[in-house]
Amino acid sequence: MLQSLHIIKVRVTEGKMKVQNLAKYNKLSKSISSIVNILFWIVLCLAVASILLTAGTRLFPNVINLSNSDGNFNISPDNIIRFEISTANMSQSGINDIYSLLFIGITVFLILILLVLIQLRKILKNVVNEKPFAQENAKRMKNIGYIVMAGSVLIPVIKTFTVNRIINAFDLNNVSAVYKVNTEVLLIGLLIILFSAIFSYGTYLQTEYDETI
Amino acid sequence: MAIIIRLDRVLADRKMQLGELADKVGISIVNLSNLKTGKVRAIRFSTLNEICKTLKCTPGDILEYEYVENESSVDDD
Repeated sequence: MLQSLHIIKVRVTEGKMKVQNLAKYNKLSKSISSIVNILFWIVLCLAVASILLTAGTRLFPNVINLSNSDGNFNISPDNIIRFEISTANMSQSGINDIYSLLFIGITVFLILILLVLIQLRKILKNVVNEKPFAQENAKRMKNIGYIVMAGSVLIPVIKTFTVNRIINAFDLNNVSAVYKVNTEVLLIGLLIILFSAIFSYGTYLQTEYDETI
Repeated sequence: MAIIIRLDRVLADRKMQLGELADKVGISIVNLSNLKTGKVRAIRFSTLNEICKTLKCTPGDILEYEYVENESSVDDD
């Protein structure tokens, strides 16, 4: 009798712990989902602004001016070398080209981030609904992997183009930008795709469990 | 699958409703209904134990195997 009571007590305690853990997990997933939602709207607004600025540099060339009080415009497309461009010593079309490329680069980057956030939002929606191992989630993780891999190829293209444009504007000899795929980001994309395959197996196990009574 | 579920027959013999069995066994009526209609993939021994205990029957009363020609094996799944 005492042993049975002890077993019941242990089972009730385990049940309570399970409920507490589930509640913590629910709270965490809801918090992360809220943060991702906020980020999504911020990035969407920035992407729209970036697209408008890109169009603006072409349609209204003399309106946009990013130079500081000294009449210089600082840009570092590769985050290694910083170019200080004197807008007084450069033609307006040359400056507009550089502005265009800058905003195109920012737009492409923001669009890629936005695509990732769209997939992430949908994944988190399923997680909040206590269905983390839904088949769609594995597919969405794979999509994120592909987007990251695309970014590793596209973003260096824009950076290389921008730097080469600046080098041409400065008439620098024996200097050119070299295109190189961002291999670290490419590997991260591949890892995400690998994890999505593991997640897919998790989905299969979840289905097996759900269909077992 | 060649496993046939005869739960509805046993329930009729015992004059018990599905809901009542679900309450006594401790599983949801949805799951029990899925079992009755053959939509489940597997059943745990603990669940089978409870069902047989409640209905005072053997697993053979609930589960029946019918040979089906050209049935694919488990490995093919």
